[in-house]
This record gives sequence, C-alpha cells and structure tokens, in this order.
Amino acid sequence: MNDVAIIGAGIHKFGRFDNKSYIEIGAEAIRMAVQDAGIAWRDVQAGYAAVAGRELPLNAGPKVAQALGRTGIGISGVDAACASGGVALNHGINAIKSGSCDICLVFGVEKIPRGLMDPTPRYERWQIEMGMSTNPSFWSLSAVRHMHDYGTTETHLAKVAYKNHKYSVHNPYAMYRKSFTLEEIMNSPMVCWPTRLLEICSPNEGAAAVILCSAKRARELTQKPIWVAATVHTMAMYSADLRAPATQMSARVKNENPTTVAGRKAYEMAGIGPEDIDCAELQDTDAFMELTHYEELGFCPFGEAGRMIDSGETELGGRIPVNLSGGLISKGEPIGASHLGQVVFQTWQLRGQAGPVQVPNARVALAQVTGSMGHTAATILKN
Amino acid sequence: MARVAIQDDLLTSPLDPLDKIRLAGCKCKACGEVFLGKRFGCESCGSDDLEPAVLSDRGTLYSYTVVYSPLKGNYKGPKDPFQPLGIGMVELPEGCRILTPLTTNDPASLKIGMPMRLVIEPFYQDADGNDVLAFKFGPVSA
Repeated sequence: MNDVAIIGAGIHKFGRFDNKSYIEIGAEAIRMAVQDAGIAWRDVQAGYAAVAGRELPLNAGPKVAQALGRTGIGISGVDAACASGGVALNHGINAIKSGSCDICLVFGVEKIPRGLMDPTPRYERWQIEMGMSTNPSFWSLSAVRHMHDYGTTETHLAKVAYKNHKYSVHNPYAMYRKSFTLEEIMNSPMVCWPTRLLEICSPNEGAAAVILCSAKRARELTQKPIWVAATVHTMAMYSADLRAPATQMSARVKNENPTTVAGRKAYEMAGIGPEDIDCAELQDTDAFMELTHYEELGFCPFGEAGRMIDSGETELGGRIPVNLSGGLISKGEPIGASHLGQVVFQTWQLRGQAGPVQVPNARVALAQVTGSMGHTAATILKN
Repeated sequence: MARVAIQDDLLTSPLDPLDKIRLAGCKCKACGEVFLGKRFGCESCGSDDLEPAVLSDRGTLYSYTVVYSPLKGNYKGPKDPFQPLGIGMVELPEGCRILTPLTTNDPASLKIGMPMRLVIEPFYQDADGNDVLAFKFGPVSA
C-alpha cells in the first residue's frame, strides 16, 4: 500500500486572472511542486495533465509542462470531467508501480470563463434550447427531493455555506476569502430554487500539481513522504446519480451512487473505514451536495446530513472536519485542477503545514470530487 | 404552417393535432426499462432488444426547481429579459422520471406528488419558418 508517495505539492491560486495565460498559471503550480520536492525539472520522468474543459487548446497540458523545459518526457492529457485529477493520479501511480519511472508529475490546469458554464459542449442541442442545461438545476432537484424525504431545510444548506466561507479566510489560494453571516447567505440572490448565490461555487481558473515518487526513492528525497493509500475513479451506474447531462432517472432500478462506490473502494484499498478519516475535502459545488456526500461516504446514515451540520461534527474540532480549505464554494472550481487542489491541501494537513485550520495529529485524509456523468474520484492520503 | 419536433425520436407522429402527440421512446424487452427518445442499447441491463414505446401523458411530480439565473447557450425561451423557468422531474407509470420544463415558475404552486399532464406546443420558429414543437409538463389542476 505504501508504494507511491507525494514528495512535492504546488498550487496556483484559484480565481480570475485576465492577464495571465493558462501556461503561466499551470507552470507556476508545477514549479512550486518541483521546488517543494527538492528536485530539478529534469528529474521528472513522466507527466499527466488533468484538463477537463473545452476552453483551452489541444495539447494544453503538454504546452504547460514544456514551459519548464523541453526534456522530451511523455506528457498527456486526461479528460474525465470533475474526476480528471483523480484519473491523472491513477496514471501516475500505475506508471510508478509498473516500474517504468520513479518520479512522476501529476497536475491540473483550467481557465473557465465567468458565470454559468457554457452548455454547448456539455448537453444535447434540444436540452439547451428547452432550458434544461444548467448544472445547478440538477443539484437543486436533488435538494428539493431530500427536503421532502428527510426534512432537510434551507437553513441546513446555509450552514454548510457559512462553515466553508468562514474557513476560506485562512486560505490564501481561495478565490473568495470572506466570511458571511447566515442571514447574508439566506438573503443572497436565488440561482435555482432553493440554491442561493452564496451557496454555490464559481467555475474559474487555477492549477495544482503534485510530484509522485516511488517508495524506494521517496525516503531519500524527503523527511515527510505523504503516501497515496488509495485513489479510485468510477462513473455512475444506471440511474445512480442525478447530474448533468441526464434526461431521466428510473423509479424501478436502484443503483448505488458513485461517491458511495468510490468511497468504499478507496476505504478498502487503504485498509480503513470512514471513522478513521481525520479530515475530508469534498465536492461542495453547492451547499446541498456537501450534505449528500456526508451520507454517501458513510459519515452518517442516509437522511441525517442535516443533523450532522447542525451538530458541528464537520467543523474544525469536530468528529470529521470537512472543507477546511473553504471548499469549492470559496475556492471556485477550475475542473482539472480541483481534485489535485484538494490533494495538495490534504498533503499540507498531513505534514502539519495547514496553519490556522490544522487538524491536530492528522494521520488520514480524504479528498473526493464528482461531476458530469457521475465521474467520481476518491483519494486517501496517509502520513 | 409546417411543424417539426425539437429533436427526432422525442415525439410521436403525426405532429397533428397537438393534443394527440405524445412523448416517444423505447422499451427494453429484457428488463422493462423505458427510455425517452432513442437508445443504442439498454442503459440498465445492456440488452440490444429494444422496441419502440409511447410514453404516458400523465404522471406525478417527483421533484422541481426554478432557474432564476439567465440561461446560457442557445436557449429558445423568453430571455430579453430572462423569465425564470420551472424545471421538474415527472414520474410516469412506465417507471421513468423524465426531466422536463414546467408550465409554472412559481415554487409555491408546486408540490411533490401532484398530478401532472404533458403539454406539447410550438416553442419557436426555425430558420425555415417551421413551428418547432417541444414538451413541458404542468399541474393537472391548473
């Protein structure tokens, strides 16, 4: 299990950078990771680039990596929607485990324009023409049903957003670093009923990078290797996940949602259970989604996520702190970089470098993302 | 005035009269799942034994939301200014829950479980002057 370690982590702030190219944004994150690892760029033997949007040109990943020097190593792009970073990690881990390299770069970069995502490459033409082409509408449909089935309230949603905005103040790499009162959140403009503007994330720009290393070389290169105990990619089974670009779900067939599936596989690979997780970074595209992930990952029974946010169990100092980075709600979502951004933050947690939001004695950290078509990644790190 | 469906395989033929048009789809003969529109194979069990199906025009509201943020892309509904759009999931007797626009955008008028009926009407005119027909669902009581 301790076959592959993270020996370097780097990030470019998530946000809006009208005057910076995607190459500068990505290359800065990579350079930071390489320097953090204490190696030179020429020591990197392979690279995988998570780029999920259609906004960047072909070969965006290789172009970013080659800005650091054209060493001729193979760099390739990974496209798996929100799970792209997890799939890229998988590629890097497999390359090292196969013996084909010892030191591998995994990074993600994205430059998505302002506002709701362009539906054109993501939905069918008729869905767009009829108005069924906005990601928040799917999250809201799930929220409304959950409220009906379990009594979850709009206040529960606002409490998740309140928590994440509160922690963002301590994250210099987050797009939004402002705390809001519960009242300000519940009075913010409605985006898709019942989801409000301060409860939703912004697709944006940014990059994150890690240097993976074989166990053999990790111990000579770093005092604090962070072990990748598990990384899993799965997609949604039939009718398992209500998300873009769905046209229907089934009332007859029940399949487990992809976060539960990926989480279970990751726990098995890492030899742990949800009770062993010291901190989690989860996919809060909107406040409601964070609540469902508590249930899906086994932090609480289905239907009890509202009770969990009420109890403070997912705050710093609670049983299972969630999104101490400020979450996607504060950081924004540069898709390809998102999961790797979570992994970088959790690497800092496990090294004791998380500052004001440090979880004392953190030993095991979880990162999870999920998106279009139920592309889901779950990664577990250990120190 | 000639009519076309917003997407081939979504509506039954002929496209006249309006109140006789239904949603078209297919059914898996192996497992019974019903799909709106065409499928290459059954998404549930993997069988390639699909037959055409006509979907019910009545169902119940499984969930709903209202989009207030102006829609991007080539949305053909009212957008200057953007009119909030109700979107729902309607559960049909065939056992599928169809994503659909709603006839109302007032969340207070919607309730999970309420009976809903199919509405097919001209939605916009295309470049050739045809009426493009699309579907929505609305409360039966309205």
